[in-house]
Amino acid sequence: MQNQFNAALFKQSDELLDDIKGHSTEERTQRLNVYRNNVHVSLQTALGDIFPVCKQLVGEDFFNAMAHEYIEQNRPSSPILSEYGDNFSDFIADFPPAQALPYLSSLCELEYRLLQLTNTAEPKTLSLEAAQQTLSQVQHPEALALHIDDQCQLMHSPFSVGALYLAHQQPEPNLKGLQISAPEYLLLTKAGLYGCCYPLSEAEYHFIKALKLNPSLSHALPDDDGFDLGQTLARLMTWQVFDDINES
Amino acid sequence: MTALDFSQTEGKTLPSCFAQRTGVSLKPSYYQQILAELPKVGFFEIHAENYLSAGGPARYYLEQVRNHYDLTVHGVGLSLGGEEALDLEHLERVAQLVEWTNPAVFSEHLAWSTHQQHFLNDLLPVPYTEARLDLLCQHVDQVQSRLNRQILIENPSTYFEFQSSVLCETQFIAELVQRTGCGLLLDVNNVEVSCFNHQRSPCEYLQNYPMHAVKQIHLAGYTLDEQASLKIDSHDQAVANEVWQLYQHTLELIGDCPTLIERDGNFPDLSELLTEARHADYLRTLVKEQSHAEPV
Repeated sequence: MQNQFNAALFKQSDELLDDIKGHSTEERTQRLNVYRNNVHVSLQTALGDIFPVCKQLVGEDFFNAMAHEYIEQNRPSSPILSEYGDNFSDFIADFPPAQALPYLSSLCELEYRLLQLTNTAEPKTLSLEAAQQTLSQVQHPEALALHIDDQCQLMHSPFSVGALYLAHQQPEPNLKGLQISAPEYLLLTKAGLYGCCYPLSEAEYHFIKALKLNPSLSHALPDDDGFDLGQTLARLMTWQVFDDINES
Repeated sequence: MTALDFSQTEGKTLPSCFAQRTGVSLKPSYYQQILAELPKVGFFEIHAENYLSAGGPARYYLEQVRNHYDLTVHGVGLSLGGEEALDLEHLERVAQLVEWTNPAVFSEHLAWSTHQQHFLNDLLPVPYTEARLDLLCQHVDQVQSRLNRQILIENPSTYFEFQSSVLCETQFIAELVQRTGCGLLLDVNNVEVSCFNHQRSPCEYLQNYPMHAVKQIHLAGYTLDEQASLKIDSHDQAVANEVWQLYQHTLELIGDCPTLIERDGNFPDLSELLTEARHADYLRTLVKEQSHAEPV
């Protein structure tokens, strides 16, 4: 029965109608349509909650039409709906009607990653004060090891989706001066209870990437005259991304 | 099949606020107001699947609310009525939430929602056959064993009936109770919706319902479909007048019972839900007074 029901929900077969009580095919179809509608609308709503900035940008009608197509091809793999949509950004990248907005896929990747970060346990990282105190007592800077919390992630997008996302966290998004086609480097981490993103310079991006592979400061320093170590460390300490700082 | 004995986990350990005062659904838009004002409400009910994250605002605010109120946990994703084996990984996550929150009751649905590892996010109907009853009983036993407590099963809202059903819904539910020892969550709105959709008498349904097993009541709002010929269990409206009347009739049949005002969409100001909860409390008080006034 479940096979028939599932096929009927997605209009792949009408076999289930034979097992539905009703005076006419029309009546049986009307009754079945309640479930079809419930499944689609509830999943569209879930996707809208997971990708709110995308929905705001393209409008409800376009978003729901896109979500409808996605749902036809991708059902949730878990009852935990906040995990649904892990390949929504890939779907959008190949969705012909969305080609006019080439940044949309990258924006959805960012929104999904931030939501998953929000739902992870709050990391036990060093407060700004603790990190500053540790750094002030360093005897051998060349031996300094900066351990970035595992939950911190990096993202490189060919579009300024971080700036776009951050603008839409305001009640009245101000998009003046936003160059959407400029590539962007982002740090994704947790601020309090929520996932958040911070724009980085390219040198900072490579610095953090190197630190994640090897926490040795001397190994991670980029060969870039424009890189300001003091400023970068101050930013990273403020964002509380270190779970340990020591002299190894 | 022998019913498991979960009698020690029911009744006597029920927290007093849950038992005495009506509760409302806990939703993110209400977190701040609840914690700031600590409204007089019996308990808050959560959907288990919205609180399974390791961190974030859901977990944080649930912990805060739990410090002040009794909780009930309502599962929407175990797919107990399904043909397939239960998702044990999901059951384990739900069990950990239940252990952490220690709710007054844990409830789930007489429905299925998962097919071949795909979650369909709706409470889909079950044909009332002997084979499906056997399977449902196995699943309920399995959950009760893992949670080590009696669970409550909610009667469904349905939009069609199966030709292949051989039992009526109330018979099916009575058998389920008898075989598993589970309790029941009587959703009065679902009774109204299903009976309207199948042109049956809701009072007759309640007469045949195994009322002795009812441990909690849900009240919610419904909408009509486009043709106005089907009632849809939408949970996005105030409780309808006929559902209040049916609730009052239910209380007259079974006496006072812990009750929830359930809301899952089109959220009003919290005060509107609290007003509905107070109305439920008023009706419960009337029934309690009537029972005290009756001669011994």
